[in-house]
Amino acid sequence: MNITFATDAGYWPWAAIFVVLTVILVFALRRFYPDTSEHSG
Amino acid sequence: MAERTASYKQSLGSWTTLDIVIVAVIGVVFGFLNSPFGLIYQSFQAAFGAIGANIFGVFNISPVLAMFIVRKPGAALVCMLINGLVQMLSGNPAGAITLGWGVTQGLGAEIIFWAVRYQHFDWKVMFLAGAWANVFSNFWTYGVYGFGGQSIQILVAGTVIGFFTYGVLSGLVALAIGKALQTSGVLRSFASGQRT
Repeated sequence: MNITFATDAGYWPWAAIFVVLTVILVFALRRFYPDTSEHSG
Repeated sequence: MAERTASYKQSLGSWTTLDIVIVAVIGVVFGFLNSPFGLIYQSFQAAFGAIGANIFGVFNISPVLAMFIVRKPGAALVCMLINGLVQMLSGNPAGAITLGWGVTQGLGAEIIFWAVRYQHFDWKVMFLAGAWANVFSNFWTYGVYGFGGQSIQILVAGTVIGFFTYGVLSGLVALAIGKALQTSGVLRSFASGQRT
């Protein structure tokens, strides 16, 4: 199986961009969707 | 209040037999469904490359639906792992590549539900779960199908198109199915039957 990616640097630039986007998304979701477990029941 | 929080966190970690069965059933049923869908996917992918691979966005219904019903950590990932295995065994033309989709799509959906602490299941979260599962899986798709030779613009365009097609055709479709099941009352034994 020949795995290739678009940039000369290979896989890592894509992975880095994706990881940064995922971290931003997770922080945004944590910020806008607060923990409601203390108020539920 | 602290007791409620502890009890809620305890309930997150404890899978019932019903939870396990329903996640497995959803994984198997949608695994069988995804195999013929794979023919359509392969047609788009062969004709339009990286963009075609992101048009037919129905493959992430099962992890999002499983999590909507069960609402326990790992439900999306486990469901999609089963789904990927069943796709391979039931004749998806992609063959063992489906195992990689099982891992990446499951993780992509799981991370969104983890971010909202498995508590929120509105349309935005469901859309994002379906969409991000595809963004995640594109690393696998682009690699195994050798789309590396295509321009960055095409790869990014494919990912952006996939974000919306999978968000709607997987995330929102899973939400519609889940809401219909909730309304019918068959989810009373699950977390989704007790919390909206």
